[in-house]
Amino acid sequence: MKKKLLIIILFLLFTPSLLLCAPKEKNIMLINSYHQGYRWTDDITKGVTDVLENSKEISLSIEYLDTKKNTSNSYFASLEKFYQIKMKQHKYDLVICSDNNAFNFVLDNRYSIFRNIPIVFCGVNYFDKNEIKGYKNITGVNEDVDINRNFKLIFRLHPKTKKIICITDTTVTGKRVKKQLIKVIDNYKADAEFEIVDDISMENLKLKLSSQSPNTIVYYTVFFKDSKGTFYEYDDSIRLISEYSNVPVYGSWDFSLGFGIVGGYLTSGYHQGIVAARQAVAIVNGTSPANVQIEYNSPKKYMFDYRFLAKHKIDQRKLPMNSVIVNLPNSFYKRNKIFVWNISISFTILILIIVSLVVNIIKRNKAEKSLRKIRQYLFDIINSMPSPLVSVDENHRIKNLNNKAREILSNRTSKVLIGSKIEELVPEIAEDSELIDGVLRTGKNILIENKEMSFNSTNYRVMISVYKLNFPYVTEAVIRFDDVSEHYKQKKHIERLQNILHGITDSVEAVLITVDSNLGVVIWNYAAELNTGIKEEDAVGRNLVVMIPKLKPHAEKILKAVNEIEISKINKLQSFENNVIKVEDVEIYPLKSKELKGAVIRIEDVTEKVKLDELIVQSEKMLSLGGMAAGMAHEINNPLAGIMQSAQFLKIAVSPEFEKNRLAAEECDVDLEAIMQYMQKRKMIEMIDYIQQSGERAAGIVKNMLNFSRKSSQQTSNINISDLIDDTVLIAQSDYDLKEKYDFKKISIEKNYDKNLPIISGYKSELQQVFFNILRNGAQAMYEDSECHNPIFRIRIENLKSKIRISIFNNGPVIPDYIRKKIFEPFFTTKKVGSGTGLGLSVSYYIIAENHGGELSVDSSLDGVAFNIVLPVNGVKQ
Amino acid sequence: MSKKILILDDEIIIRSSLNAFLETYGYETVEAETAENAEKLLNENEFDLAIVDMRLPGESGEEFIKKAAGKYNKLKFIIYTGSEEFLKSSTIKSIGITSLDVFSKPVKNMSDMVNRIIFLLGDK
Repeated sequence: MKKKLLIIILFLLFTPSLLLCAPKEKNIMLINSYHQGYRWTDDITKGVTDVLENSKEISLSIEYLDTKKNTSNSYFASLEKFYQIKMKQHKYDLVICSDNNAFNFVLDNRYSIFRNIPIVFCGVNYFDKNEIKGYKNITGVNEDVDINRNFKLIFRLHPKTKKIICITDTTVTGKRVKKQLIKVIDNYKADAEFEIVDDISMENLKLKLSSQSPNTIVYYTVFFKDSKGTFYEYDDSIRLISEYSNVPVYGSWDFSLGFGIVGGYLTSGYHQGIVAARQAVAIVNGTSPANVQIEYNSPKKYMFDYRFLAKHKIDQRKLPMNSVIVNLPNSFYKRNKIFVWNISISFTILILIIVSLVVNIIKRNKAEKSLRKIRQYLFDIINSMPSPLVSVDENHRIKNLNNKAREILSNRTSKVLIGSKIEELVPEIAEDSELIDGVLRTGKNILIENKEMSFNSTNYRVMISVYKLNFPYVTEAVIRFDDVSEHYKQKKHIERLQNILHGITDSVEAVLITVDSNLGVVIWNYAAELNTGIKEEDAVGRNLVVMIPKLKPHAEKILKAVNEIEISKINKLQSFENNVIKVEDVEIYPLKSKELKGAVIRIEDVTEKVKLDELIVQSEKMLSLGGMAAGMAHEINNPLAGIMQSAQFLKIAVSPEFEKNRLAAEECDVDLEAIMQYMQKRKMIEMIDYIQQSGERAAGIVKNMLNFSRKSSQQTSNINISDLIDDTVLIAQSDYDLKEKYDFKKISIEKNYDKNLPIISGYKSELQQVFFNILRNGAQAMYEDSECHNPIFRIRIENLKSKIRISIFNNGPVIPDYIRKKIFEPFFTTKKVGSGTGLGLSVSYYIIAENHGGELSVDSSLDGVAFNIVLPVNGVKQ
Repeated sequence: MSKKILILDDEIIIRSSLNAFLETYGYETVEAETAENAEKLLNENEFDLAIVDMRLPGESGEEFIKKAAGKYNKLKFIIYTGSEEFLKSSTIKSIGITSLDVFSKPVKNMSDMVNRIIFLLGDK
């Protein structure tokens, strides 16, 4: 029990809030007096629904009392019961009642069924506010007929009217109408004769109307019931009346229109509904019914039927303003419905197309306008250009040109410019015709720099640029002429200055480099290019010590010279390039220019000079020694022969082998054996040997010395230098003397001979002696050098065309400068006494320089020692 | 009879040491200081071989050989000189003196010369 109670309480608590939350829908009930399908009722209903359709919060219930056919008391009693139930079950916010029956029904049951519900009425004929006296919340629309205006209309359209027959009936409405008719007719009695017909049978009415004189007009109001009590539907009665009437029939209600009346100022059921519905909406939306005025002026409209206007030949132009004409000649439309539709659809489509075209045209006009603006803008730009601009077609005929071009060309010719050939007007570019064709063909722009042109007898330098216009279907080239005279002049001047500067720097044989304060190269002369193999364009802008690495150790010195503006020198800078020693003097002259801080660096190759200095000294020594040796040799050989012969004799003189000795000993009475023993004891024999050996040594020296002075006994022969060197290497490898001290075969030989070496003319054995000498010296040097682990000879033979250069390099110890200078001097040796004559290299020098007209020099670097022999191919001194 | 050798040289030490050397080998030797003197000796005595120095005061060794070779066709010659230039002379070659008969001063092993003399003169 408790549970149920709780649920109920909860339900009660929540229900109001649920109601509040729900959309507040208003319920309106429309109670029609008559039935559905009755024209008047349907018109009102349509008016009401048309308005209420627009407000979604309102729901409409439509009721039909159907009182046209049922009027008995028992029927109304049933209705009361029926609506009592209905109104109890559902709450209505407002009731609209159409026509008197419904209105009366509601009023009768105001307190029992429709208590407190606002009421809006419509279609209530000739409403009198006394009818609702004592009732509240009631408003609505009066329904009346404007007889006065209809009469005015009749007189207007039919000025000759003499009689007006007014038709009405004896129904409640009819009686009310009649009352009004009598009132209005009073005002028009002077204008025409009036007859009110109300209590008549349909037959009589027909008869009456069919025999009317021409100036009679029928004014029809309602005729639902004839005198016989026969009821007629609203359309039946007017149809019959109109059918039999030979004069125009005017009406009062719009439901008569279309069934026989010409027209009139007609009361509209539809508009009754609209006005009533609007009042209802206002009330349900909160306006107090008391503030909604009753609309007494029933909505009406001038309405006419075209068919009857035409039948009675009534001039449409006389109709009042805002008249509605129904049944306009739509017969054509009816007959050709598909055609008309086709036409109208086509027409609509055409209209749409036209509209879109118009829109398009407007857009285009807009675009064109902006294009014109841009065009003008571009024209202004092009025309303001100081350079002439001409566009030409594929035949080189001028298509367009700017102001400057026009000005200049007009000065040159009196011809019409547009259409003329550009070459005729500007003969200077006739030679470039093909270039213009090329531009048109390929689309690649070209630049003709520096063309000489004259204008007003002044010469100009002109740069011509030709480019193709980039529009589809347009083959045009634009030619622009730019005056570059000033630029050209300056360029020429700069070029001249550059040439002078280059001429000056390049004419200097020494390397001449200008650097900035960061040692960046500014000027790099021809000698620098030759010396380094680096082109000026590659060197400029780069760092000096990167370009010339051998200056790296002196970078600070150079920078110091630049900063302190002090001339600085690096004397005899030695470098080793391609196995050749290079000696250079470097002079640094700081720049005194205010514009550029830096220095001029002058590098002079003094290798040859240094060599020459050494050479001169050497040659002088050679010559004097050579000459002397020739004379000396013979003179020394004789005493040597005496010494050696004597020594040899002394040895054999004590030998018992010889009879002569034995005889002499006997004569002196001495024992030869004893003498021998004595001499040995006193080391006399040994001494004799020393005498002999010393003599031999002296003889060797003399023999070598003689080589300086005498011409070789040999004949010159054709020598293949590479074969000769290979043979010499083989001999050296098998030489016993060498083998004794070290193994020549352990020395690796690296050969690098140029191909196609020329055969040279020379003394084969002499040259072989030179090569052997050099190889032997080198081998000894490498052997004696404890640091030389991988002894190697690099033998290089180069073809210098008219000369052959042989370089024999060994990786033995470095030869110090003081030794190198003396190395070719006779009797100069570094070997221990007795192991060398000190003449080997001087003889070699003599053989190469004197006998072959070549050069022998020695270069020593950290890597080792290189002997360089240069032999002329045909340079043997005969 | 031992073979007779004429030694023509202007240097006494050459002559006397050569003389002593060859005598030890059993040859009879006569010394001449000049070519003129040598020619006189050739006229007075019969010699088998002459050892001739080329460079002499007065008449040269070459001229002496020319004359002597013309007069005494059996006479053999050994040239003993300070230089070898005379080899080039066609006259010397035509006489039949080969390079083996030429000895340059100083001679390292005198036995070489003795061996050549033995070859030229045959048995003692």
